[in-house]
Amino acid sequence: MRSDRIVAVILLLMGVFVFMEGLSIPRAALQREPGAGAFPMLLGVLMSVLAVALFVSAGRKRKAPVRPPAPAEAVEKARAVQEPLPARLKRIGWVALTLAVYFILLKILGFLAASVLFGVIYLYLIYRQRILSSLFTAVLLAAFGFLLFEVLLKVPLPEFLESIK
Amino acid sequence: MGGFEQLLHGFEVAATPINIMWAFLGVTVGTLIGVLPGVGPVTGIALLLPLTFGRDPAGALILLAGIYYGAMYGGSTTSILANIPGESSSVMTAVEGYELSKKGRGGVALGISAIGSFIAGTIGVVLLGFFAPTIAGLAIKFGPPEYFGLMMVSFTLVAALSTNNVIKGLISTVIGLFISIIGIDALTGEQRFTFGLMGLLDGIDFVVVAIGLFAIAELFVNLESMQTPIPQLKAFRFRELLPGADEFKRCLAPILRASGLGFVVGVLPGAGATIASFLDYGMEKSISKTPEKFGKGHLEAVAGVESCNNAAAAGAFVPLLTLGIPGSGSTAVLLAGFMLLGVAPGPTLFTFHPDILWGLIASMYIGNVMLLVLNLPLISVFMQILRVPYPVLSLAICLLSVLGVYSLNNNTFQLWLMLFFGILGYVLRKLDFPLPPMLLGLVLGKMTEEAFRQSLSLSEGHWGIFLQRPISLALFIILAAILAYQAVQIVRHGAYKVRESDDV
Repeated sequence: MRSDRIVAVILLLMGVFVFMEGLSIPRAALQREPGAGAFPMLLGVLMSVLAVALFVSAGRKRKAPVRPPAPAEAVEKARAVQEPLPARLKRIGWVALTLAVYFILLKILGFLAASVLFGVIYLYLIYRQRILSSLFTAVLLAAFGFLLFEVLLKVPLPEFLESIK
Repeated sequence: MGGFEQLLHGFEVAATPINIMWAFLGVTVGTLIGVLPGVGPVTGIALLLPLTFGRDPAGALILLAGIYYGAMYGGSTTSILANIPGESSSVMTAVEGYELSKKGRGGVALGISAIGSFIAGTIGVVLLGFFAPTIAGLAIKFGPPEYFGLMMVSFTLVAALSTNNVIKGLISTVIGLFISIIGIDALTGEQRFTFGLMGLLDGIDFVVVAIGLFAIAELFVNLESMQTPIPQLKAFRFRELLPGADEFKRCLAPILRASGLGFVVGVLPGAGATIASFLDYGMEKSISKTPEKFGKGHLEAVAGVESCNNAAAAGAFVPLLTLGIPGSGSTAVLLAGFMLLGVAPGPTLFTFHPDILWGLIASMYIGNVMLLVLNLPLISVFMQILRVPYPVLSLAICLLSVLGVYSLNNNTFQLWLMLFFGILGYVLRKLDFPLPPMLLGLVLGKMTEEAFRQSLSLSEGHWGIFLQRPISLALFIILAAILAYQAVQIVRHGAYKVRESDDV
């Protein structure tokens, strides 16, 4: 598989980097201790060897991975709207971006407001739920999370304008 | 104190009202996790780990263990009624149980699953109480080279047995080991792979990686198909769940056989509940007088498979408690839970924390009774959870992930790491890389490095130490044999093999 070969090359580069970094870590003053670099060097070697093994095995003609009947997957596949890959990746990209904005907003709007906003966008825009039910669900879940962590478990959650204070 | 007295003492610990409450909460949440497709035990335990911080270790571990074996029970419900296994260990249950459901015998299949799981789970816990101290006694003689060898064997077995491509399994493990060394080295104070980021100085928390790789990556995977709610399912009256005396008699032998097989397979690293359930199905079919009935809704098969995965869940506690080595993704998360609570599993657990250890084992007996009580009359109640639309459930998982990760040390840097691991987990899943070995590498990384460095310190830098001591030599011979066998398989048949499990 081409993707396996690309992964193998990335892994090989990573292996060399990890090995070199391990090599550059000075040995401890204690003569008997192999030092903080020894284990990374070992990992670097293992990564490189496995990368070569993956590259070589990816080139071999092989059987496709066969699985025993997994009804869940069959049901999921049957149910799934088969969209082209870019459309699916776009949706995942949007959610990742929404999550990233949510993390930034947590420190500006505080946990409750940021979570409600994230929840509404997630349910209304991504999952196409109705706006009122999205709002209701988002408020309910954010309030539950707040009660559980801030009130019951005493975890100080981000407050309004915390990053500016 | 003998084993029996210690177990009795364990009951004193487990039977306190607060610990009974933790066990109840654990098995209830575990059953829910088992019922819900897309939320496996790894995700469930990782999401709830932050809730246990600062709590009494015995209670917290009873809660986490309850979630783990509760999920094994719960997995049967959706398998039988909707052909959707909540866990991979319930795949064969779905094959047979759903056929029974179509014939209107779904209630009895659920009933026999719960009863079989109870019997096998209890036998498994009895065997655990019996074998664990003996193995711990042997393990106490292990030095660093033996531990290093043992971990290498475990990593390789997990990669070989629980994945369909051993090379990818090993790569996943090595990446996990690499993540574990990021941060300041505890022994020398050297910074390793921190890339100048302050947030990486303390290393990367296991919970962040587990939630990212499992909970967040799962959300991304489900976004691809825009999973819709599961259809409404029929509720059962209690009477419909009970098998007849004749049916129970026919199922008893498969349940007992599955209990023994499941326990033994569960003890092996990497094998776990999923492989155990497939092996049991194959064994029952081969010794059955009516093999033609298999695949068409065979009650004995359901009883066997469901019993087997519960016995395996108990068996998996043997290496975890006695050696501190988990054999699967879910036991790796449990090990992380032990460590977060300041309780190091391994032979010393029997000496330093007997209260916690035997309390945990005793709580499993109590948990098994609770699960029987929960599973039979409350099946209809658990089915209600399936009415929650997936978008709402996924938002709840998202918020719980954010809260859990943020609460680790109250900063948003961890959230970015979680998102990074979510994306990484999604990409690796798409490329067919197994994720449980990565968790295993991560959770055992520090111990592995410690054993490696201590061994080389003992030998003053000579690598021969790993082959000079008899137990260590034996372990490295086993390792070489496994690797040689795998290499021959790859040369003959290619890198992929028939996938038997995605055991988590």
